[in-house]
Amino acid sequence: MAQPTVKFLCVAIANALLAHYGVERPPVPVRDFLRAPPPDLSNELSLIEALSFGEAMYIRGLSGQGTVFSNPSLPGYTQRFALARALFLGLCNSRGGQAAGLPPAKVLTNDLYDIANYFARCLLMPKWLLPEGWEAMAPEYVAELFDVSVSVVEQRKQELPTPY
Amino acid sequence: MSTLRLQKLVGQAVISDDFRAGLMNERRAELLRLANLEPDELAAITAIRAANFAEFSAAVEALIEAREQAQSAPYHVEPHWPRVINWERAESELHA
Repeated sequence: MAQPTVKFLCVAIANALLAHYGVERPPVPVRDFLRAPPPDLSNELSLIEALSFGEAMYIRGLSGQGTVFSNPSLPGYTQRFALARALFLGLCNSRGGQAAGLPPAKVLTNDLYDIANYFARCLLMPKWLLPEGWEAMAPEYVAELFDVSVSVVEQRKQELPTPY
Repeated sequence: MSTLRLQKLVGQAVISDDFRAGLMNERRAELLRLANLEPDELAAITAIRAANFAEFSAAVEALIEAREQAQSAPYHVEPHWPRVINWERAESELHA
């Protein structure tokens, strides 16, 4: 049976979410995505900003409700990236994610962590939202524009151009 | 832009149960019309035969990749040589 690549699904879902929320300019309001998820994901995603350690984690409670717990004491861009990564884990557990062939997020393996990071970069720095000639701009400027860390900008520069 | 439209189509089906169900049943044509696709995209997506949504997504990804490859190599040159060369005729034409 043919399966889509996980990278393709990451880009496809990121772009659909950006369209759903009408995002037209950076920075991408990822916190709003979790506070008010699309209706069919409301059982998979919610946000509680009360974690006192780490960055963010996705937990599915006994009721079945998925929740992202995040640490509000971290710098803004670190929080945002962690939220985007945790959002992906919720998507993996959703009906749509499972139907598309996303890996189940029951155990956070290294591979899943890498994929979640890729999704976060696609969501926070979508290809179509990047300004013309962004590769030549100062990484610090692009990082500030998208409210991400400089290392995320550098990674995005390495992985683009790709078909997605 | 067309790659983005096709990506959004698959992504929308992941985040919406109704949309995903519609793509996999007789409502596909109606949903595709609303997706504002180009006529060739519309035809290609309508023609996808998939047993489930993962197969459908894989087919859309393959379509995007094929289009990207075609766009990156627009000048594909393929020499065509005659299968059988009539040497006598060629020689007579050369000396004519």
